[in-house]
Amino acid sequence: MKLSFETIKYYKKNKRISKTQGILFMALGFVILGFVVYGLFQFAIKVNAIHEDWNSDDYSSDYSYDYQNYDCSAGSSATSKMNEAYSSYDIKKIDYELIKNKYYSTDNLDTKLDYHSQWGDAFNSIIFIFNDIIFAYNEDPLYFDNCYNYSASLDIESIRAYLDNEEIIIDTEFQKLKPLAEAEGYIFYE
Amino acid sequence: MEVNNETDKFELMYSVFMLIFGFGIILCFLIAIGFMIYIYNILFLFYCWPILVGIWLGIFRKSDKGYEMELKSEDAKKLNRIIEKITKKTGQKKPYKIILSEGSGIAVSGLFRKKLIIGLATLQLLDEKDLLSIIAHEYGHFAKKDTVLGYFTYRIQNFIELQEEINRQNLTFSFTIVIYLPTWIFFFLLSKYYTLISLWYSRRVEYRADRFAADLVGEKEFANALVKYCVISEIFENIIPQYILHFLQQNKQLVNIYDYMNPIYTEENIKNSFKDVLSDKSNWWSTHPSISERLEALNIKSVDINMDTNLKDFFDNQKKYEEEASEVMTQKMEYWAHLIAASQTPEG
Repeated sequence: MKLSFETIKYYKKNKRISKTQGILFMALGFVILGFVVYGLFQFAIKVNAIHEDWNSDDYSSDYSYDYQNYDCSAGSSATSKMNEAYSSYDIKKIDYELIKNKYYSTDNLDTKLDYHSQWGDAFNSIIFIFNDIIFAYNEDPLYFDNCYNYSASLDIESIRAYLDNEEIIIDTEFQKLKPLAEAEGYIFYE
Repeated sequence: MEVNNETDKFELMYSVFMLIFGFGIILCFLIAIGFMIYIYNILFLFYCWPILVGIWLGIFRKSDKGYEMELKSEDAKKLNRIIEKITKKTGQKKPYKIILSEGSGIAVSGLFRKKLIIGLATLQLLDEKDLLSIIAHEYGHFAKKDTVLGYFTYRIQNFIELQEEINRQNLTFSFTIVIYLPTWIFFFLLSKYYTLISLWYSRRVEYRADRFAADLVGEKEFANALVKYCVISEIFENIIPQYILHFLQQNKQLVNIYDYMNPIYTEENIKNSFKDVLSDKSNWWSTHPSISERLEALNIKSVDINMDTNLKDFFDNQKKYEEEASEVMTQKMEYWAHLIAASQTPEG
């Protein structure tokens, strides 16, 4: 069986494949690949930082120095200032607690007002000394954190917390005293 | 034989681009996974192990070749003579092995060792001249190393699709969605893009292989063979599976499905099939250009189909191979019928 067919009438129904499409595909491909490589590069830069945040074993490397390797033998010129500030703080704190106890031990309104005023003054004195401790610490923080009982910054923060708490107590006591004193004819100037 | 060097340069550039793009993306993905493991340590391995399994399978899993019926060299004397005519003209090597498939397709594959796959159905009706033309087209793929590039693009495509599937299957409403959802979206889009660019290239090299064959055997001869091959294939694939299913429904099996071929190649069927084949259109997802596009590229205005139904002599022990292929095709049809029946059965 031999059959002949015309094929020409079926032509031009389809579009021939073009080189332009290929060039566009390649361009798109290189854009995609470039985008992926750029993303990976950015990711690579962040990976180290992400890893350190997550891995506590390597936590110390967040800082630019190493605690273990700090040389304490050189000493620090700020040590005497720190010692002086701490001893002043201890003395002032004894005075402060003494005044505070006197305030709580009396029921007389006039006396209580007088002691509250002294309590406030004693608090301000402690704040003044506390600032001396901060100044001394800031002169050489590495030395104080590594060589000066290994917890200078923690000590400072605990004193700060204590003073913040005391300030609230002083203020609360004043709010209790104020209406009683005003009833007795005292006038307070803001 | 004339070779268009300009086209070759462009196609070489495009194939290099496909490899750089494919392997570049895979390399970036592997580096990114390495970073994730570095950050999350055991957590990543615990929750995202399917991704790692996908990487392993994508790179190292061997492709599933399915059932292969190798034609023994002592049985393939005439077929080998035809192949030899082409190898002498082109300077190419003989195929490492010839595989007979149960269907109608003719194809080539192989990275280093060339493999020629010939559908038994087409061997029933193609004459020597036709077969020479079709194999010449396949040798066009060998000559231009299309099978080598095809191997690598297949591996890349396989890797991408495996990752897409694994990430899709692991999408659940848990915290792991932050890994799986973006990865799935990335590989889904990448799969579409890579399929698009590799199929564009696949269609383009078909024109080149057509030109290769036309230069060897003549444009008219190749066009006649190409259309005849497509008509044989179209009729076979449309009718023979229906026969097999018909007999399966009666719990019967055809011993040799190829014995039922000759009666279906009537003049009417051939004319109808010719119209279907020539009217078929290609699109961006087609592996091959349409037949009309290919004939137009060869500047063919008409074709002659000489259908001789008394052939079947390309190799010895044909009955034995045909019966084995019939068994394979029947099993495949049985499996498909089972799947279709299962999908139509209401649940519960």
